[in-house]
Amino acid sequence: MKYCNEEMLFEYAAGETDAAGSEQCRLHLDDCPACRAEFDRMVALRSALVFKSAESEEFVQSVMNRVLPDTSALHNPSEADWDALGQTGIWGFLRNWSVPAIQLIFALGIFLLQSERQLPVDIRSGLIAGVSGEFAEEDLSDSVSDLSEAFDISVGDSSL
Amino acid sequence: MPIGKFLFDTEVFSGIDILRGRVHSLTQEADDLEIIAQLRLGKTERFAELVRKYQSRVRGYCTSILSDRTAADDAAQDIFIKVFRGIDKFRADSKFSTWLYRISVNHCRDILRANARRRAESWDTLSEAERESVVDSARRVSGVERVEDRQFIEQTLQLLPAEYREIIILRDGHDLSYEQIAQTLDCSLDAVKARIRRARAQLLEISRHFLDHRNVRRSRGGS
Repeated sequence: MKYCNEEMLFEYAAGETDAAGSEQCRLHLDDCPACRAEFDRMVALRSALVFKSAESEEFVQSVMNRVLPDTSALHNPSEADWDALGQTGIWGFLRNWSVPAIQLIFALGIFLLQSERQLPVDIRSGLIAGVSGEFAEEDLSDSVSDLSEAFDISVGDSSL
Repeated sequence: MPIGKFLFDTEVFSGIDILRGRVHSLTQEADDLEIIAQLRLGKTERFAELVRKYQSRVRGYCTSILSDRTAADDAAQDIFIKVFRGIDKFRADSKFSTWLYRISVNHCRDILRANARRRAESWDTLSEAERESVVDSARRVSGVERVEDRQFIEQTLQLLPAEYREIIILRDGHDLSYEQIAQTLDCSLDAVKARIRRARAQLLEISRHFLDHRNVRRSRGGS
């Protein structure tokens, strides 16, 4: 009869022994009623250690009731969250089109500025006065014809 | 040799079972990670799935450690709230269940520490009346039936030091591997093995003490 100590028996009860150890324990238990009784007690003790709590939907709801009011305080969006958000909806549109739109506005502004600087000083002041409505219509006709010449545009008198 | 017998003899079937178990475990882990990813994107309602899945284990662990079902349910709720609030801290370097057990162990330790200020924790410090109450409970039934009795096992566990109680519950009650226990308790594998050996020896000693006490009482009664 091969000897098995208490520690080895408990490991056998827990399924932790290797093949050789299991065989040794099995042979010993076949021949030793005292160890068999001790082993049965270990198995029973071990199975009694499994504390099972019945699944309860009420428990789940209790937890969720505590969790949900917390949601806004809890969720700190990470960079990845913002990235995900940026792929869809209005945020996605703004993210995709804001840079080209700003570039376009900037280019248009430079173009207008350059065009305005190329005009002679009297035409520029005439334009400003025309816009502000300071002169009568007949006073503006000269300035407009000068302006037409400057831009090389032929404009009939009747159209003015 | 018939193929069936060959398969049994060569333990191919047990190998397949182990493989199936591992696949199941991996699927479970993948499910957990998917839910956690959704939670991080703000889909908080999916937390209910995690609670539903793990409530039995967490409540069971708390009950076995605290020996009070009401307190255990309260503790389990608090544990799930901690999990929810700390979900961003989960780095997936271990299984979610291991992380959950770690939070459970620490939470129950805190409760025991608080309780320790109010009541005696070990057999040595129990009053005579309390000792008699435990022994009376152990006396009612005998042998294997006795150790299967819930009250007996709860009282026996209460007489174990807290560090032994938690490790024996994790290993023998919840079937965690030695590696998982090492991660849960944040200690080495050798420390886990040594502590489990000592915990089992002490558990057997305490249970034997009750059973011997019963035998002595019975023989006295018989004579």
